[in-house]
Amino acid sequence: MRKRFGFTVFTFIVLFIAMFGAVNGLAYYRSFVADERGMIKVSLSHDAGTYPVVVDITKQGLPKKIFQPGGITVYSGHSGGITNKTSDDLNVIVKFEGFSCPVVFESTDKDFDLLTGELMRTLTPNQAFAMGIELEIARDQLSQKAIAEGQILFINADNGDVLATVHVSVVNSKGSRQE
Amino acid sequence: MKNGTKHFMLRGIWYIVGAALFFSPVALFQKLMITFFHINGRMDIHGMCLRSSISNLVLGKLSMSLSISLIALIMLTIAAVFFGPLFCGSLCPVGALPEYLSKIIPDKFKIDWSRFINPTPVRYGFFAAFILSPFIVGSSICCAYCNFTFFQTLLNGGLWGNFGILGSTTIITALLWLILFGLFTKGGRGFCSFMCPIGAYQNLIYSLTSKLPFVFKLRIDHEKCVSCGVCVKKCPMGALYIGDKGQLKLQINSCILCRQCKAECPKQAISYGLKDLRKKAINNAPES
Repeated sequence: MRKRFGFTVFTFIVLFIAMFGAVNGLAYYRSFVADERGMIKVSLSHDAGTYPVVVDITKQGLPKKIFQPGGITVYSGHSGGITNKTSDDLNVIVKFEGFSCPVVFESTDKDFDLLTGELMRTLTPNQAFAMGIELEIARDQLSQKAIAEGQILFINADNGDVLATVHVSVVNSKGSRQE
Repeated sequence: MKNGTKHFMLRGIWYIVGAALFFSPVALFQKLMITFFHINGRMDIHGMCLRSSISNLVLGKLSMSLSISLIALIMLTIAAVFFGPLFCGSLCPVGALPEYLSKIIPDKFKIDWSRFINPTPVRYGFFAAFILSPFIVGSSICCAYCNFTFFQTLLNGGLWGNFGILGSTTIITALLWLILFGLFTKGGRGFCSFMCPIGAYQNLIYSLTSKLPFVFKLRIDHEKCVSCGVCVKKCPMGALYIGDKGQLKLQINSCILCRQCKAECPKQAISYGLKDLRKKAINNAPES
């Protein structure tokens, strides 16, 4: 009969520990490539704060560099991230501007309209919603130092006031300056 | 049509039902929960994330507030206690997809992992790391390396090339799930064997409860079994093997109760059910 590894106590333990270690290695790699997305945490307020976020494509993992280096996400996270820090109920609309590449909205929040950028429910004080943007950057632009730049504006739909601005920069820290 | 082929096709239909139940665009289970229990939740697989629920349960952090995930976890656990990992073998389309796709690749190009290694320690080594990695390396793999997410991505548009933005861990997951442990693994269920916490959770529970008399169990009638090895060849998980003394053996920690072995057995030596019910059926059979 064929001998299989892992059927004695010793080899069982060896395999268990090997897989345990390998998966922790995968978890460590995950933290290493966490910077592939730009994360934003925004407080919506009447003071209209500015939040800079920089995505450096040199921090992408090898699989992403091979398959999809120009796909960039700037996101607030699944559980919220865009919080109403005023004392008023807010109707929020999100716009983006200034990007030279195709941009679309992304959100796991069922009340966020991906086409119009409108939050279809009223945001009460301290309530949050989740959203982000996806940029598609052409490969030939990725070698530049400054790749793409733009802004995400969070606007009070009732009076047009800007509640917060996220300034997004996509860079290649090892790239060459555009002439 | 052979029984084995019929059963393979019938399983395929149930996996499609599973996809309609738990994944958008249909997500019937989530819709029913939202309608009848008035729970707020997402109408895709993330709305009933079993991975995070299992992780929170084991770590004692499971929220008891009513959610689709909690209801799904309770149902999964009850099913695992009494019937085994039936979700895996009967409803989960995520494990089924690479199994069915792997049929297009000739066997000579596939790796039969169960020939070389015992999958059980690998499975539970993964499960232990799945639970403990946030404390050891400060990073969780609950969402990273999730094949359920990638399956949802495929249904959301990935099937016709619209994958959205993918991260490195998602790309690695796709390569492991579909390619290395899918197309090029015997049975196509390498990811299920080695890297699925949901299957490991159910099998862990079932390995304990299967010793109880009122639990459904896969049984081998060694008087009928001729150790032909057909079931060993057809098992997608490599859970069956011929032991040193030529007797067919089942590794309960690897079995997903797809019952393909039962359908393939030419001697009907494999059954699934309650021991007492079988005895009662034999005792009550009319005398010939």
